[in-house]
Amino acid sequence: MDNELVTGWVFDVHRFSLNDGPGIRTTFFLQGCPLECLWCHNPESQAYPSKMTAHECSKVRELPLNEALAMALSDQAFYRRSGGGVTLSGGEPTVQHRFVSAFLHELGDRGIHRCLDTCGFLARQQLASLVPLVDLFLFDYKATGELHKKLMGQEADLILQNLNFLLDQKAAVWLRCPLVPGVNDQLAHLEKIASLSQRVEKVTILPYHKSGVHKYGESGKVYGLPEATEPSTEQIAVWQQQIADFGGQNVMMG
Amino acid sequence: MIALPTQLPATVQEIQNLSENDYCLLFSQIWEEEQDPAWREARCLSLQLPRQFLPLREGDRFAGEVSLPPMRFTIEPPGSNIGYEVDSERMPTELRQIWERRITKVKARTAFSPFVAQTLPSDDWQGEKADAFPLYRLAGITIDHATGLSLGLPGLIQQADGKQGWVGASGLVFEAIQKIAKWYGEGDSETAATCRAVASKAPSTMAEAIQLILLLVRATGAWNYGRLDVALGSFLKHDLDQGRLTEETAVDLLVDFWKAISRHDNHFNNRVILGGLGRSDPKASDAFALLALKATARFGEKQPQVSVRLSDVESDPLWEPSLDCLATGSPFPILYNDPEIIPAVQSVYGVSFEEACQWIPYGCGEISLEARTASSPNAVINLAFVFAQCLEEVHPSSRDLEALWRSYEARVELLANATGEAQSTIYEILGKDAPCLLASSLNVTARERGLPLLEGGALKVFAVTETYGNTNVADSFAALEHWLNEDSSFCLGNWREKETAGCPAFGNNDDRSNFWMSRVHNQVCTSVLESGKNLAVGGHAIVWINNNANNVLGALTPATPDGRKEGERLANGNNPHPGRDRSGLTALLQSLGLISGANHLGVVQNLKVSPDLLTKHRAALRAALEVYFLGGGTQIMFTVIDQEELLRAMDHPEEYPHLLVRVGGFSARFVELPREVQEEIVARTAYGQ
Repeated sequence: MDNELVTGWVFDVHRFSLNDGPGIRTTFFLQGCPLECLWCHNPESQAYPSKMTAHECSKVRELPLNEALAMALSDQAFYRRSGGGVTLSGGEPTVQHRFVSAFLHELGDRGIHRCLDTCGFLARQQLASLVPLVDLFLFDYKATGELHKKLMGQEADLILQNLNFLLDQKAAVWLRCPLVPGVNDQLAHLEKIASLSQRVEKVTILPYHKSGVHKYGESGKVYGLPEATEPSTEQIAVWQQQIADFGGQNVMMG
Repeated sequence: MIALPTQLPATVQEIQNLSENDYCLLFSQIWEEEQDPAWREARCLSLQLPRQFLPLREGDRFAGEVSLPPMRFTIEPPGSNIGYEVDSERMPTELRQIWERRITKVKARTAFSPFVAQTLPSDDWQGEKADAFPLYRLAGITIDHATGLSLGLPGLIQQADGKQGWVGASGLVFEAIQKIAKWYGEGDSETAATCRAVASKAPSTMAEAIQLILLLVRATGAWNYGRLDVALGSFLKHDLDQGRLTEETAVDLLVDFWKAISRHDNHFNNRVILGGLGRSDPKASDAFALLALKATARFGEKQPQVSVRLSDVESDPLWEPSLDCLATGSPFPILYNDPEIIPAVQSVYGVSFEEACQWIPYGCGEISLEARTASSPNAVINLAFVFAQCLEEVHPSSRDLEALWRSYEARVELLANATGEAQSTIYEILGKDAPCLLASSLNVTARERGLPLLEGGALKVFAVTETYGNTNVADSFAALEHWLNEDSSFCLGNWREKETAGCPAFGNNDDRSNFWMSRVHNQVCTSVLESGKNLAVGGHAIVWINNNANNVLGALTPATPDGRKEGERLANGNNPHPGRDRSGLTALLQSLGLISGANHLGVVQNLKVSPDLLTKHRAALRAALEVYFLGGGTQIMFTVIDQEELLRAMDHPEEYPHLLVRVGGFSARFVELPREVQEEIVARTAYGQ
């Protein structure tokens, strides 16, 4: 398919984004996700583009690739000066594989640094095809063992296998780990994060925040973690210490 | 019959002790007795200056607080006034009528040509509905610190001794200042000792130099302090070398200086300039600048308006110290981009590179050449008002946007001519009325040439016109164009029925709003520059600055098609109309950077940033600003958003669409967050930053 005809379903674009990879970035948030994390702060981004409700349709825009590219290119001087670039996030961006690979290709042709923010739940073959197109993976790791399926709706196996695959391929990876007190902060999980930290460039712990809860009412969905509480500063410091005790390296609090 | 005081007072204290009535009678008597403008000014000031300086307050480290007496000669009193003027409420009734004819402003208004009088019928820019007004003042004067500090008061007096004309007359004024210094010198305090030293010799310490600067600036009636790093750098170095000061006590002293400056505050002035090209000893000046920035952060007030000229956008040593100061929540320093501004200043003023290196911003951001120019912004054009009138006159069924543009353009050209001519007349009348002795004696070129400032002394005398509503005009044209393109039945007369949603607006870096902003800006710049070619003064240029006139004029301006309602404020300086920039900081900076340094004498940009950007994300902020400056941006000033700002954002979300906050593991637009999350962030920001 000619790239000019490719479109992506985009629910938001943040320019001057500073928390989705290095430097000044433009982050494209793409619609659709294979996971259903109970704490998801963007529930309206979960539905696949083909299955969106009227509410979701009103928030999501079908963006032609050339327009997305023009948006990204207009900030090129800022990327260059700050060591930044473009981040594709979501939802889960790889759900829109064709758009994502075409976009990454075009960006690569222009020498723009590319981050892919992924939950890791995708077919190996798809991931393999993206490895040469991505300069840095922001890879989510959310729970260890049985709990993963309960919280995210899918097993962790594929996600871990994909992470190992990326590391075997010598891909650059930053791990992103949301932690919810009493929900996924078991020692086994912290230990796993610590051990993974030795193989990735950096780990960012994302302490749970309730800011997405209001969106459930708007979209008619039911929030899966009504009892969850935000961690205290002390709790965050405890996590940090526990991960360090397990041998964690380059672990930052986000 | 007017009763005169029997004995003329000789000392500062006697002049201070005069009743207000007696002071006025004496001032008036001197004015009548002395016909020569230079000696009249000198003698009037010899009475006025000892009267206007206030006694020291407990704890003051520096002297120099002033309060203007009801009858005075001054270059820039509060309001729109110039030269000889009176506060009629505070003067003897019997003098009021006589003085009406003596007021310089009245003489200037009377001298306007019929064309100017008809085109600019009102002086009441704060109350009348009109598209342009003259202003009367000699704003933006700075003094030649090098001369003042090297000669000191005795040297300044000596140089005038025995001279003819205005130079000789200025000696009398310097003697009055010396008397004031001696008066402040009575007593045991450190301040008194500094003042005694200032009265008797050229300053040899930084404290003495600061004291002399304060006395000379306040006596001149100026409001801006110029390049203090140049003036004081060598004094600081000397004091540090001698062990008279440590860095810590030097900062203390500068905090006291800033306190003395801010005591005299009209909200719009008190500029202190640091950094930039054209400094004789950059190393000593930078050392001073670093401490001055520390003092600014510690002082933490809205004055003085400390401004940093970056001589090199990529490697200036003042970059990080400037960001350190801003990170404390201070709105200072205001940052300026020398490499963009200097060539533009050369071109507009028609001066050499070396002369242009002495540019400084004063007041609200107008550009002068330190202690060399007279370039007071003495007129206002409200472009939004011009546009609204032109649109009102268009045939309602017209779809001809270019015809509307032509009528707007023609009116702006006419106003450019009228405001230029008005200012030329104001300078001429003031020049005839008085030589402005201190502004002339402490002007670099006037001293060299032996001519008063406005009679050939100044390197350049320029008419300068403030413009307002530029963004609203650009957005209005863009909106009309948008409706004409999308709706074939739309006529210009129907604009009130249209919604602005979907219309291009400045600040989003899109083609159409950029086009209209460039067109509106270039047109007014060029018209005004052109009008300057026919004037007696050296030229005419616009400024597009930031003060509260956008509110005052907005209140008197009809609704405009960009969505601005009748009476609503105008956009402020080179900025989007509040709330219309919705495409992020990079888009905003690219829009602002469209307005390069060329063809004007000062354009200002505001930027509100969260404290995070100056701390955690400083490298990204600096990179963004470097891109902006390298792309043609001239200046930027910050509001580092604090608690109050966030609270206002909660109540007026439409004004803060671009405020990104870090919530937890993600960023969000603050105004899109639910109330409780906003409240949480407000609380966290207050403590966390």
